Amino acid sequence: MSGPDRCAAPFPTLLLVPTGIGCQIGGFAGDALPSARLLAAASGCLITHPNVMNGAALYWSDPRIHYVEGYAIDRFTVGDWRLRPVRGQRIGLLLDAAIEPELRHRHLQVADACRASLGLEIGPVVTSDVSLGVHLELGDSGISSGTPERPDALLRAGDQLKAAGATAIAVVTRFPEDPDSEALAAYRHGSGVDALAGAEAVISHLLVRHLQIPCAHAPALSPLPLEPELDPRAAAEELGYTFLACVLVGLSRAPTLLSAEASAHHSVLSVEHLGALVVPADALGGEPVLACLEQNIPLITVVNPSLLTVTAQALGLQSYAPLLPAVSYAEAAGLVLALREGVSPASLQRPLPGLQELL
Amino acid sequence: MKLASRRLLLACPADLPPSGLHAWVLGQLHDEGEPLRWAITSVHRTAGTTAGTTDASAVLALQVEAVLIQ
Repeated sequence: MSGPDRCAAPFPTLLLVPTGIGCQIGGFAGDALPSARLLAAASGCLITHPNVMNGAALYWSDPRIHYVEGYAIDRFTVGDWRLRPVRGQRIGLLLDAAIEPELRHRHLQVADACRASLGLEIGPVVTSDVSLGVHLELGDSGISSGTPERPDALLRAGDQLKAAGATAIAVVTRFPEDPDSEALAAYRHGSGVDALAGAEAVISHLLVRHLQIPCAHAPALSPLPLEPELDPRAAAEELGYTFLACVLVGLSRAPTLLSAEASAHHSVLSVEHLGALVVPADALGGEPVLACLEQNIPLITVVNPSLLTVTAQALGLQSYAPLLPAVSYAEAAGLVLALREGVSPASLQRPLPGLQELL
Repeated sequence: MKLASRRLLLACPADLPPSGLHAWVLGQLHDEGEPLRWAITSVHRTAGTTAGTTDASAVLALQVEAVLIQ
């Protein structure tokens, strides 16, 4: 017993909802956030990524939740990097030169609002020396992706911010838009894929790989006309003029990224501390999942349909001992709590087969 | 720096243990460039009868979608 609530010690858990694959939960505007809050309560220590936490103008801050960009999660799960929780980060703001003046002002005002109303430390601001030229793509599987045409300019601006004292970077790039597209209409009505999300991940991956500091992305877009039939899961993106507030809040307490050679202070999280990975059951093909398989980390697979069908059965994981299927994030939270408390998940299910003696 | 989006179709030995899949896919990707963002996006068994088979002739056909630094 470790405290008055008799809870066991925190049980570091990694929650992934891969970006841009059209998950029913988490494929929209921060709509996996309730699941993350529940898993944070169950585990006492949840590591997750911006796609889970970002709801444009909506956000949730919880000291038990560690906001870690996807490339850093990749490096964390393979053991290259560690995470050091901090009280606060100084967030540099990187703006794409392609953003129009009025839209740029809107973003600067959001940053000022987060300073004035939330007490975040933000600055300096740097604008890229040329337009970054983001373009969007769909992969063969239908998942979203995309790249900037000028990654060199993106990284130059990132270097400037880091040299000026930024310990984290919020990057805003001008995204192409087609307000009449079928894909956008489908997304706003609650189906299809977030066409922007994959390119956002590529941009933040580039910066994190280059600078090894927390980074996250917000797209700059013009406001959309009112859609009365808007799906509630997409609604958070239509509350304001920018998607930036959630990024600034998430980065404000994002863990510092340390190389594995850094000293193993008791507060530093490494993959050896990881108790479980929670991931959609049809999306087991990402690097963090495969890296956890190498290390025999319990894998809680949750029914959360997407475009993909990379399942445990397809990958031949039936014999992977610590595989724990769950039909919902509520069940996954129960499994995390069981593991945290040292209750065997098998004992919670029936039938309970008898013991087998080794021959 | 140049970024390239690629789709790779890889034939992986079906008897490769799950713990070996990560290193095997990374090895294939490194032939094309430095992987920045990638995932297995489709899996099919092209021989053998059931998942988890130890039939050495069985092959896992993996589709990997990646953004690579070249």
